[in-house]
Amino acid sequence: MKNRLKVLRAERDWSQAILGEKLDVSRQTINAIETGRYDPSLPLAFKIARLFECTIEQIFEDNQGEENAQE
Amino acid sequence: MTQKQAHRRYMKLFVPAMAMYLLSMFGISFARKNATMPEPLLYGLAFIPAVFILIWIWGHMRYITELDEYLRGLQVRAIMFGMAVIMAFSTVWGLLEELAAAPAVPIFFIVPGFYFAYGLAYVVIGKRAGIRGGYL
Repeated sequence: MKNRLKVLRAERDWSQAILGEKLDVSRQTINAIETGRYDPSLPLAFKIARLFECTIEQIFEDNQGEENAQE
Repeated sequence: MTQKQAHRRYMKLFVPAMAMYLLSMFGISFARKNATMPEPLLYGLAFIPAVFILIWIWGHMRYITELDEYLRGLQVRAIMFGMAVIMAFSTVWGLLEELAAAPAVPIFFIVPGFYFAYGLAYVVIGKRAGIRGGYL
């Protein structure tokens, strides 16, 4: 799943480790989400959205939804 | 709890549990060689090192529950691989013992065999996930 986490993080000048601390997850987890290797659980996605004061849809792109719309 | 705190908590349990396991193993082996003991006592003594191994397994399971969801998922995948290896080996070797009179392998080796396969799997899974050491 594509997402804007890296952009949002860069805007605040946070490292992956700092963001991880704020979300109570590891730096590896932040890296995996940013690179699209891991889709966070719903509670973690809400936590990320709350931290950046956005909705989940503003951060995460629903590729499956786009594919379904094209069909 | 941060991942580092969870790791530290695990190591605080792992190191003394392993030290006590080794000490009790040496102690019991020494006592067996130097004294004649009744069978019920031997059964009781054999439980002592086993308790430390059980404590370690419990600590490992607790550690996994304390990790964040992504790292926990990696651990679970490695555990599944370790279980698959040990189940495959025990099935194949068990049948060889039953049907072809292959030499018996002590069931004691299930735990070290599992942890060996699990450890190897975690190294590969961790490397693919870009994790370089630090966490179990």
